[in-house]
Amino acid sequence: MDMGHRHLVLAYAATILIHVVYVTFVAVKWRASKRAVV
Amino acid sequence: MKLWRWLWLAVTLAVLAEGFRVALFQVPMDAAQGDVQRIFYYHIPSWVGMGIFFAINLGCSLVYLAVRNGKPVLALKADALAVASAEIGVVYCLIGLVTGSLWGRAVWGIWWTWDARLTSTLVLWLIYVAYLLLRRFGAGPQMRTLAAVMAIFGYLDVPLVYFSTRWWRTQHPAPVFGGAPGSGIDPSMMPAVWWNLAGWVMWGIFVASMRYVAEYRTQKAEQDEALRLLDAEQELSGVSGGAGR
Repeated sequence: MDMGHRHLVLAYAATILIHVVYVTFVAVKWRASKRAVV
Repeated sequence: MKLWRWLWLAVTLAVLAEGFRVALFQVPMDAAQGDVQRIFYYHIPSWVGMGIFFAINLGCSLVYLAVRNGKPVLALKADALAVASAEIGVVYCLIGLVTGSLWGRAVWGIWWTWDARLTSTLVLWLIYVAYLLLRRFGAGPQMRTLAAVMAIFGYLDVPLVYFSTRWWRTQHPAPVFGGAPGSGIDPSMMPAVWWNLAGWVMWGIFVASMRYVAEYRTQKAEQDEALRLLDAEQELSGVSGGAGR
């Protein structure tokens, strides 16, 4: 794998990782808000 | 989760999958940069998403300031949407910075440089992180008003970021779209831009809508609880006042 390919893979992985972290945060907030209403 | 949200999510994931396929396997490789240029198909949608969601944050902040005394329900909704849009805007801004840095390492040989575009974008990201920290650690209506004012001042950096590559010619490449005559990419590469642009904006709308609902529900529950306590306190003081007479 040359340098360009490695950086392309890293960019895709970073994009997905950041979104996964944020979506997890949103899911936690979503569940907490449901509990707050009850 | 409501049915329309599941449908929206399904369509979004399908568009993102198609965007992935088109960007990696369909459009031709860039002759000068090679495959690393394909980072561009995720880099550009991140900036567009950031621009859209920071603009929504600005609009909601203005609405909040305008109606916070007269229309409390609308103000609460605007405030919740302001938080949701700022968060997803920060996420997109971070992805833009990270993917740009990875591209820079492969093409320029450096991870970072204090170029006008990069520096103004980092400042923008820090402004909105500060906005979110203010929201996280502040409390009460004054915090919301202060955050709304901060969002308006923070947004002033967005046009600066956009025009930085037009006003100053430093390390960052010149504008690809809407730049000098002859700028742009080959039409055969455009499907990858469009699919990913659509997919990531749809994804941002989905996540922001979830976050908005969660934030609104939490704020509403807190407000209802505060009003209930106030009523109970007034009732109690009324009873004790009556007993004293």
